[in-house]
Amino acid sequence: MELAGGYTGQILKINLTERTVRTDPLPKELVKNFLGGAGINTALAYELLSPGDDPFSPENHLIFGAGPMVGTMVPGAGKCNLTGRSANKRFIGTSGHGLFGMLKFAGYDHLIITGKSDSPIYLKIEDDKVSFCPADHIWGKDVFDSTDIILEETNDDFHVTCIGPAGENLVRDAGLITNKYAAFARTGMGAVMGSKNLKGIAILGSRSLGVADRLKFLKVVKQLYRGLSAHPNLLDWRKFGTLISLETFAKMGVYATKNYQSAIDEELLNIFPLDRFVSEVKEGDVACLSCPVGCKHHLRLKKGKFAGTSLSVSCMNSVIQSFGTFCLVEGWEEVVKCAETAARMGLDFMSLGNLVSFVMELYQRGVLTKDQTDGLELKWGDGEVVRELARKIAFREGIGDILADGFLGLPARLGDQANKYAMQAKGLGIIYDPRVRLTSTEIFSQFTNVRGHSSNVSIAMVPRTPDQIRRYCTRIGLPDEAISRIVGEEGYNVARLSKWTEDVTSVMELLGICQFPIYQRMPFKIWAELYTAVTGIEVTTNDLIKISENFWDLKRAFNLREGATRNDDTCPERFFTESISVKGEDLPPLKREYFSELLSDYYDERGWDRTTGKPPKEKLERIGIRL
Amino acid sequence: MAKRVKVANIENCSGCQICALVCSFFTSDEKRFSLSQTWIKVSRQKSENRFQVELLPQCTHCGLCVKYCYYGVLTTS
Ligand code: SF4
Ligand code: SF4
Ligand code: SF4
Repeated sequence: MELAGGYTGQILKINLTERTVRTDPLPKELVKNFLGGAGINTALAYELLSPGDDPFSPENHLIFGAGPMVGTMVPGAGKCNLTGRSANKRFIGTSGHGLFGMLKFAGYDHLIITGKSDSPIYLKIEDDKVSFCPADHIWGKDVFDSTDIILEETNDDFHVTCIGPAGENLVRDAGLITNKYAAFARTGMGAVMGSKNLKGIAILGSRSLGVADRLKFLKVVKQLYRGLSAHPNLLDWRKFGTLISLETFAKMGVYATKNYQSAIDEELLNIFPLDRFVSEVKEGDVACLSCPVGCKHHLRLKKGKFAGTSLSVSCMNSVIQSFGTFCLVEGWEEVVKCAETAARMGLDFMSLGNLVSFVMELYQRGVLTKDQTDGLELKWGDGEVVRELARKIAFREGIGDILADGFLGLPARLGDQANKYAMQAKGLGIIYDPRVRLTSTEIFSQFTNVRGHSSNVSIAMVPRTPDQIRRYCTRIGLPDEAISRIVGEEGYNVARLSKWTEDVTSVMELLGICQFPIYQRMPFKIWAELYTAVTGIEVTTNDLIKISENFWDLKRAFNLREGATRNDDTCPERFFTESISVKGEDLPPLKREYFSELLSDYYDERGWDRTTGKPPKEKLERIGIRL
Repeated sequence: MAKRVKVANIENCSGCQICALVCSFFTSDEKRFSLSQTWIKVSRQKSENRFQVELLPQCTHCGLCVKYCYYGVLTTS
């Protein structure tokens, strides 16, 4: 197999302990089995990480990867991933965004960082020149200020990803933030970076990237651009970003409030009017590398006590959820200010919102009292309290120190009584209420996904008829026997459907393409054509799905090696015991047997053991994995 | 008069860099993508994600970047 385009064919390896730098060729075998991006990242993690190690040991690795489409003009081809051992649990951790494509222009498909520096540093990567720059003067500074200083010391053409105080202080939910807004947010990679005394990475590339078959490439790319031009919601996607579904989701009642004690409906739109967002909050559009959609925003508050605040935000839906619905903070200005504090501290918005709403409930119930909260009154809806907690968590002060260890650290710190209200799976906070719509693949996969929640967005996020699901399955090329397992006359099996929607989105993820619905709407077969045109490697749609399956088997194998069991793929207890009222209707708790059956179906659809979720040995060995 | 490409609505720029990628690809003999071998330069304003776009002297005003800029920043006159 020749790498004729798309790939740079090189991996940059940096050891912070030894201060050594090495470049290795990208193994062809990994390309064949795992394609690129998060796929190859995970294969490298499987090989490089020793089972049972602590996430903060110098032997943990930060593995960045940019798929083969990244760096080309393919629309939406900016997605990069960061993989390593999760700081929340020893499982595989991964997180992605659309702004680290500079890696390709520096000449690498992957960047692997291991070891631990003996003093704070940041890395300056300029093609094959890697410098270990002192960062003592930046350590302790927030993400925005740190980025500015690093840019001053390099130059404005560099892309900078860095951690804030949260990462430095090993806060389990710390992320890395690139160019002040695009976050490798979930699974605590910021804390892993902090544990290495690494403040950030400044990267600039002057190299170029070719494609194997120009004519074919242009034919497919033009088709993609035409598809976007014809998309009826392109401009709304740009204007509202992820807020585009605010109304639909609010109407469904999937937005939980007060730590899943209640839900909010369309009332949410009165608290956060979309027209005001556009006229008074948003200043301009921001896009990931090579994206004509541009669903990110630059915000500038024009009125009120925070007038003048300006920052860019990737996902406004996560801002509303984290601070608005979870914690009941009201109004654009207040939640935007919370987002600014969280971003400066280098915290994952969602995890922060989950944790704050959790302690607010403990406070409401008297499980936590004022003398344990450093005198803070943890009142629902108090934006000032959210921001103060964010700061305390990032600097590990008082109550913040307890929350800094994340959901999995809580039983030891707050006792079992508190743990019962921890709404998490594998240490990551739950985002959507499964009692309201377990039939959404995105909601279901919060529990089965190897890392905890992941964006398994699919057409099933909104209610669908069996016919619509059947048509979707046909469109992505599923064989009839699979379709008959997934869809019946009455409805569909979300667990079985999830397997396939995960595979479809993972194909895009591994290629380095945005997985938002607007890109998912492109005819699925186009990705195989594109891959072949760019790389010269012949593949079919079916081959790509098989590679996705390898990727999921591999992630599962990683976690099994760390001792994961079926019990890790479960729902928080509250969802099995409490009902929830949505628009006056009482929705019952989930039935344990039903959930368990779905979990078994999911394992089964993946070809794993129905009970243990173990992939067959031969299947793993075929892709070079030994459990 | 020959067509000229110009930056018309800079406030619309999203920083996507498609213009730069397109330019590098179509104007290079080897047809390769690059963010440095390109005749249009997109720069971030230091402290914020607002952008500046500048056509470099080597620009041939072929207009291809205009076609692929979906944000209406560039025009041909
Ligand atoms: S649609 Fe949004 S998330 Fe996806 S690549 Fe474009 S700007 Fe990034
Ligand atoms: S000018 Fe257009 S294509 Fe170029 S970066 Fe700005 S928005 Fe993107
Ligand atoms: S008009 Fe100039 S900047 Fe635009 S693609 Fe052509 S040569 Fe490049």
